Amino acid sequence: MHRFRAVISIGGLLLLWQCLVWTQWVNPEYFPGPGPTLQALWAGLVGGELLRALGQTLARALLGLLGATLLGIAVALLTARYKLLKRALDPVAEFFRPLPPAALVPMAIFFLGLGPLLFAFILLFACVWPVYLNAGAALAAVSTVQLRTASSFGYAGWDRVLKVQLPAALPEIFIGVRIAAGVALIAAVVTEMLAGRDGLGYQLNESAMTLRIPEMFAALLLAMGSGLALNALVRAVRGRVVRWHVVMTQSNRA
Amino acid sequence: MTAGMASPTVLLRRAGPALVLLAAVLLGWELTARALGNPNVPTFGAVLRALAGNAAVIGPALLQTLRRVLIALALAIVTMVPLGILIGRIRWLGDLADPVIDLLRPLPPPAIVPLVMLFAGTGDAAKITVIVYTAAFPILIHAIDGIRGTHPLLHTVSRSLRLSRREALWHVDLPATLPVVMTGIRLAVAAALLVAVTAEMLLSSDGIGVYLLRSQETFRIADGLAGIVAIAAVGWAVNAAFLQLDRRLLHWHYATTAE
Repeated sequence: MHRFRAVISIGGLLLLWQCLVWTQWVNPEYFPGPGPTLQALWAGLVGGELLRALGQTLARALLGLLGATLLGIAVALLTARYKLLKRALDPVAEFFRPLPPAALVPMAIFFLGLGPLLFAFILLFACVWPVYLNAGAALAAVSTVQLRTASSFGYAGWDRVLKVQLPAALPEIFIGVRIAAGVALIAAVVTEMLAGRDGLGYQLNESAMTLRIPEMFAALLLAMGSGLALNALVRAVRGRVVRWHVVMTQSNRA
Repeated sequence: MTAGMASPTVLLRRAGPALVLLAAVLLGWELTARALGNPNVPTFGAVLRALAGNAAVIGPALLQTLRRVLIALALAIVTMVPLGILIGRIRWLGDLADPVIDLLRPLPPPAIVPLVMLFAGTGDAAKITVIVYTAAFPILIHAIDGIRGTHPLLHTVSRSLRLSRREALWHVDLPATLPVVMTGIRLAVAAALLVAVTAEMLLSSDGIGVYLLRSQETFRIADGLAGIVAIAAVGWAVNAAFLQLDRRLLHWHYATTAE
């Protein structure tokens, strides 16, 4: 039934799109219907141009997300072990977090050029703060009952952080990773738009500038698809890693 | 409410470690830059001087950016909160809207910049459109979640008070949703600022994003870094101000949840 509704709703959206084109209410030159768009999408995928761009963007976003996740959690674990470090780092992280990745691109080009180093830096910088801040907060929020119980079982120091706090905080840590997944895609696309020579962001800009509008819509669809895929991936990994949590919260709700 | 009024010594003790870390990082930067002696790696002092020297340029550029963010946020809030409440309250509308929202939400907002450019050019309207689009989703989604998450008891109470549908929406549902909506607005503020700078860079005309691009094109690295510092400071200040506003407007909520 749920599926059925989704089909109706997405079908309605497509119909609306087609109607907009038929009525010519918007300039048809700039607004191709679903038909030409899907054609361009198919041609781009088969021809390899869009497929390559999609692969490059996804690879950048994924690698950046992975790196930022590992780094963010590692630093958060350090700050969970050494509280002073957390008090020192948190305000700095809060200061850097709202900085738009795009703002860093022009200056970063100076130091890192236009190659993979630029992407690595921008993506890491954009994604690491949400991961770190969520992980740090989650590790700090582990209940005192759990911590005291762990102490009385003889867990201390790193043992306590890794074997008690980390598993307890994992479900919440994934919230940060999910936020970072969205940020990673934005950062990858933006950097490609501003400094790239390939990838979906570049394709978007390029096809808009050369007025190949169906190609631009196709790239937009792929960007949307990438977002859906990244979300699904993070959710799948979460389901694997914190299976017990998912199972428990579901049985609670029922 | 007294949290912001902590005595100087308490404040210093709380902020102490952060200040020490910050000082260490800045000192490290200054010393490295001096040791390198490379004009492409400006010292922290040079960046500060650039910040002071370019205040007359950076200030108005930032204000221009903030103006767009504020207009776009206001538009997004005024349209998306009522829409979210409707989608959350009216079952068939929700069934229709949910899949569409799920589909559109993961689209990275800067990706629509070229599309918007075709229709609205590169002026104010284009940038504000992109920012509205960005800010719309967090607000809409939180409004929907907020209204769906209100306690069923509230509904029953408003029924037994014989409130009309409209009265119930205005006096019960809206206030009950506000704390959740506020979270959405806070996320929207951060995202709006981020996309505003991006949109300015892609649709260059003015604003802080263009200032950054110009600094790069003319190899004024210290000036560019000064711009980045200014953006970070403004982003942080806007966020802090919003948190204060949130606490003040929703003090009744925080008072009952005992935080």
